[in-house]
Amino acid sequence: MKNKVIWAVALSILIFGGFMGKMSQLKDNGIFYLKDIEGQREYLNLFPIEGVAGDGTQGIIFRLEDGALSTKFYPFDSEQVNNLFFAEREGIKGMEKYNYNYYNQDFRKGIFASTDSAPSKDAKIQHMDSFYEEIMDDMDFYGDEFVGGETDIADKVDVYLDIWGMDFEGQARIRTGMTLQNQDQVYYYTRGDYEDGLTSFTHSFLNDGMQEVDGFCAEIGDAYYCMAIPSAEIYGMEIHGECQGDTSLFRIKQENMIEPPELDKEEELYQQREYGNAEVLCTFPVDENNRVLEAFAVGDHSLGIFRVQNESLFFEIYDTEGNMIAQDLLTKEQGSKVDQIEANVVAWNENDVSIYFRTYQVVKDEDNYERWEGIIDGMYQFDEKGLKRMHCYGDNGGKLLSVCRNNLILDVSMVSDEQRQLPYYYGYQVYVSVINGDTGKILYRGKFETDYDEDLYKLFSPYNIAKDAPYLEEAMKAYNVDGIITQRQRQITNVLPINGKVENVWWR
Amino acid sequence: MKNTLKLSNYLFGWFFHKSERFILGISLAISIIMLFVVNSLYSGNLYEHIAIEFRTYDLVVDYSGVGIVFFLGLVSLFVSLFIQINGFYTNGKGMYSIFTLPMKRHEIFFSFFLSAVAAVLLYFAVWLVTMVLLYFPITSMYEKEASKAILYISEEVTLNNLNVSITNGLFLAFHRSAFLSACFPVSWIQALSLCGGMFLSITAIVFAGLYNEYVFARVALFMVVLGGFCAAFYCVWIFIEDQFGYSMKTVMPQSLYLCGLALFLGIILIFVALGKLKQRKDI
Repeated sequence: MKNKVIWAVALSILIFGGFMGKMSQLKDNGIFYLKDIEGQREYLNLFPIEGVAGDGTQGIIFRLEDGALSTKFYPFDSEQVNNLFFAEREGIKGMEKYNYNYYNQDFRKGIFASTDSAPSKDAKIQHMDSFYEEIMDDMDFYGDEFVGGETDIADKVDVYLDIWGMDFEGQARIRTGMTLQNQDQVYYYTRGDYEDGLTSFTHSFLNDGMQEVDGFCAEIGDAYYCMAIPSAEIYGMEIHGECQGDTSLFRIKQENMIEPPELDKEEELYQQREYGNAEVLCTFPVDENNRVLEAFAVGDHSLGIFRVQNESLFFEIYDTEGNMIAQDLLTKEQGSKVDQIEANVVAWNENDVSIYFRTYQVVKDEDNYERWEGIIDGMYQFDEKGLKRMHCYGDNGGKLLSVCRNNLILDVSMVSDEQRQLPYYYGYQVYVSVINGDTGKILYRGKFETDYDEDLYKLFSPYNIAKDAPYLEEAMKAYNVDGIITQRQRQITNVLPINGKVENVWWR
Repeated sequence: MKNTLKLSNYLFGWFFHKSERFILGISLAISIIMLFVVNSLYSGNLYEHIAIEFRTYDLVVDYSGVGIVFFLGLVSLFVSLFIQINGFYTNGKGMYSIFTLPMKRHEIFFSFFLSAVAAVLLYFAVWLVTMVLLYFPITSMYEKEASKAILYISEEVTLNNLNVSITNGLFLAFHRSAFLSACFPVSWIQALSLCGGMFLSITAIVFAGLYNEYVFARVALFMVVLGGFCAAFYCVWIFIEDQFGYSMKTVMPQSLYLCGLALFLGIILIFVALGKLKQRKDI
């Protein structure tokens, strides 16, 4: 055939086709397998897991089921593969899954709880017909000036809980029973009118970022369960003893959620009304000796609460009627130290739940920087037999996933491989272990073999390895991250149980 | 059809001999020199922040700047395509001879279009083959140098005989390099916007060459060519934003939307171009 155009087009298409075919073949040639180190792999059958591994330009979603590892390749960076991973977990298919953004979706869909405040009925209120000028220094108004406004200053305030239903449909508002009272604290509610005469700015003390009360809300059955949880600062050193009264676990039937009523003019600064017909299920005192630290749903029929009573830290499980069905004393002496709790909750099914938790004391150093020091870590199994703590399981560090089931613990951890003689985190490898929850005996241990070695040397790229170069260990101390290089290191970024309902309380 | 192929064969052959072989030859020669010399292990350390012994093919390609040469070559190709088609009006009025050939006008348009498609496809294909072939000598050169290097980890620990070979390195290079992944996509998802954008640009440049009535219409068509380029290399922006801006933009489904939009606009342009050619009475 003499026609050069046909030759040029056909040859080009052949080259592109051959290239893409070869690349499609090569995509499965990367190193990624589970290497058995000790024990029997059958123990993994109880823990089907899936996860994401990638390097910023391409990645895989892997699944480990019945001891067999399967992978699916995606030509996207790790964040995009993560989004696909979560989309698939939510059952989203087709083009929609490529448009899924886990972080946005989660906030949009979820039920949401927040707190605010209003002066107590018996509070002394001081009214001023002007904007509360004292906050001008703390907030950046970009040169705005207020030509009028009003301010109420109260000496005692009640904390309210606001609940938004799914997709912000329906709302409820509850007075929690907690009051804030402190001689040194100004509880203000203020409005400033801008010069245009049409717009105004309202603000109150509770959302100034200094003192926060968290709102917890979970959907169980046809009701929302919610609670106000004062943060560590409320009990904190500077305003010790400020929070008083009690906080309750409330239940609101979904049918009772209503469109928020129109506010009256006098409610512009704060509102004292309640709606949603919340029922009080159980109540906990809140003061310097009694603190609620964390609450979360445990499976489909119960709620877990970490709380401190005097020096003791308890973990308690309540049913949906507010009856305590299990309690465990974590520590008798160190409870007062605990300021924060991180809990990873995995519900294998409605009655089989794994709870991995870490507790921290928040210590402020001389420069007012916060340092988090671990107090107690551990794991609970909650199933038909009741609540059981895995006493053999403590803080091993570097965990990607820690779950338990049937007295067995699955631990997927990033562990530093000392044999590599490399500084800092460069020698980390991902190990999968199954441990007997009663004895601590390792029943299975394996390692994800991947292409770490191949990428390892690029990590040294910022350093010339000529003879006059500094020792790598020294040079690393002044390590300056170069995005394009660091994001090309392959790593496992996510591991979650297949079909397990996962709740990371920490991110609430 | 036969006439279309015959005319496109003539146009392509003429264009290849006149311009494309030089554009291809010069751009590839410069690139090969840049890959071997600019990143050479023996020409001084121009990139001090990267230890040269540890550079992988994707880093070599991206840091050498061959992507810019490729892009300039592609722009030159489009410019010379326009000059060639427009030349039939300005140099000897050959266009009038072409339009007197025993062919329908839409066949003439598709002859120009087909020859331009062949020219662009060939440019991409030859570059792809060169980039794949260069992987082997360049990788081997860097691996050899790394094996001679000594890495001082600490006062007590040193590493030598470093093996920096990469399993599946060719595949990884075509993913990790911004230039290679954008211009030679390895998956259909990434190829979508490139194909759509190039189709739009080729259609617009052929239309701009054939349509010589209003200068403003030509300028608008040049803008469409640029728009096609933006769609085609959309994933470069995504790559840069994700890597340097720490954003989380996705290639899909925007790649599909851009491809769909570019194809739609390209087809509309073809219909408009055919309509305009039919309406012309002067040729």
